[in-house]
Amino acid sequence: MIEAENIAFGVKGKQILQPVNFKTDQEEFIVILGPNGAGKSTLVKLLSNGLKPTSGRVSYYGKELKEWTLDNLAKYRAYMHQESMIASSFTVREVLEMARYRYPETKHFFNKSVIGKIVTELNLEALLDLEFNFLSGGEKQRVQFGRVLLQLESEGEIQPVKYLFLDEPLNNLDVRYQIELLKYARKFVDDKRGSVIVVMHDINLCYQYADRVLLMQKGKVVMDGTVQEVMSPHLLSETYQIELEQIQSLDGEIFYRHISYSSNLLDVQ
Amino acid sequence: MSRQGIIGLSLLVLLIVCFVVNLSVGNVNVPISHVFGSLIEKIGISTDLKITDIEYHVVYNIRFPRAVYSCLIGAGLAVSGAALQGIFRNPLVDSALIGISTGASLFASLFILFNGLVPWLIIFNEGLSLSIVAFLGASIVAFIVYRLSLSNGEINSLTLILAGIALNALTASLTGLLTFFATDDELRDLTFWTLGSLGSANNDSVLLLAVFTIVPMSIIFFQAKSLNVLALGESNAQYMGYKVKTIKLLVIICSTCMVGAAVSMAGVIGFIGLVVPHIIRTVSGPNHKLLLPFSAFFGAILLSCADMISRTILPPTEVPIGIITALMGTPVFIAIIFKHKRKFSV
Repeated sequence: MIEAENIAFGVKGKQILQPVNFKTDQEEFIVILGPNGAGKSTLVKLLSNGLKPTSGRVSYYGKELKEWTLDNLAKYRAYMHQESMIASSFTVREVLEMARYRYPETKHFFNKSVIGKIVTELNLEALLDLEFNFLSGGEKQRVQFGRVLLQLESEGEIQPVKYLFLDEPLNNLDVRYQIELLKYARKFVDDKRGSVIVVMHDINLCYQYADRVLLMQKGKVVMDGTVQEVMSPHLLSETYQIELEQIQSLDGEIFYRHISYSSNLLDVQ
Repeated sequence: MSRQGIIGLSLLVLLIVCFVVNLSVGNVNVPISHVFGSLIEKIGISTDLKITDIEYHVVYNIRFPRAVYSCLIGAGLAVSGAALQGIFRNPLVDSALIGISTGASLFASLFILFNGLVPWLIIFNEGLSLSIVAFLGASIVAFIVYRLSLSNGEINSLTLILAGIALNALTASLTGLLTFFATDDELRDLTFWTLGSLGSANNDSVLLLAVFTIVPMSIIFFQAKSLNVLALGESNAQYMGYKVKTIKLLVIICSTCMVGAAVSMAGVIGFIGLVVPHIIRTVSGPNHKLLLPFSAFFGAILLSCADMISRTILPPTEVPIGIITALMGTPVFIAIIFKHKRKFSV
């Protein structure tokens, strides 16, 4: 369970995030939507202990963040950055192994098996012995996604809800891997392995995969609710300052698109 | 045996060979058998080799401490270079860049010039007092650089390097000013010191150097995994549960100890800390669990060789060892720059 009370953040007198309350107490797929500069990344960093709020407090499972050791917290929440560049010529295998350093050497067998599992599930076999920095942007993202998943893997039947924070994870990914990453994250939630909190820009993908949406604008959370509640074309259009409409395909799927002259012409037939 | 095992073993063998050869060659040539003989007789086992007193004296009292010096100092400089490159995620950092070496130089120069005026500065004997003052200088300048680089209680790596460059310029110019006022004798002492020399090695100070090198080195070895994770970036390391601030501070303190001790006993010896980790990375890869110990071995080997060359190339005089390491290191350094240029321009 994560609970945030009135968290706000500012630098040099400029308020980046207005006080926000946030709570999640079950496995859910949360997407944070909003225009550029709305404070999405800041909110995610505050919730994941990457930044300290200038006011307010965050607690995990009822215990305030400052009472947690970094080491212990790392077992319950992981964070994937927007950009990923590493300093040395480590191979993909070495990067993945780093996520397991914190777990005792006595669990060597378990460590090996989870790495094997994630590598297969994310289709990373072919990359294992390559140097990380020589990969393409999308391949790097997939490896980093594997690394944060590995950070959270642990033994035992009963696990508390864990938290996976992803800051624009779809950057650089091709269509196939965008869908596969989201599918995997969806399955992560459905299998009760934990919650996923994602910053992303694609409103169509958001509509398809999210349980809950936080819509942000100018450092404020405009609305926090289920996909159906938040993603009304009217509210989205207002927030993004662009006219959006919802269309329904023949099989009932919902899509969003920008209303432009050309599309209007098509509709007239 | 694994590839890493073979590399480690060959480095170890090479180190032992260098060590023994170092005891054997010089102005007085001592056969290898007599080198072993005098060391064995030292621990109380008699041999039937006819070892002369001169040979015994040369091997045990002069060359032995000196050979140990080159191993400890070489290893210390190389490990500090590898670890500092790790925490700053910058391949061009070494202990000289964050002010440790020049700080020691400045204070050593002050000592050489003013010890006649202030007799109480000489606490034990002149050599040891010089070392203590130089160590103090290394720590003070490193601390100032560290303080300057703090922003909101965190070490900003870029600021740290810039502050290091600034303080290096300042201390270098102050040292220059001192040489300007020095007498001819003092000048000779100063130059010899800034160019590095293992000539002051003796069996009394070996233990001190050993403690100041081996303790911090072991602490750094235990940080190998943290240094690996830091390659992913400070923020990622923090998210993975590592106390980045503590690790950086620990590595800086340990490096200051090792390099401060090395510089205070043997003067400024450049390029080992910068070049050795790069050479080792090409054979062992970037993993610090191997990089750190291998760098220690290779640094020791390289400085042993440099010392051997410095003692034998122009007999009976001794070429300052800093000149030898710079002559050996510069071509390698240039090669590294070219390699990176190609890599980054792709």
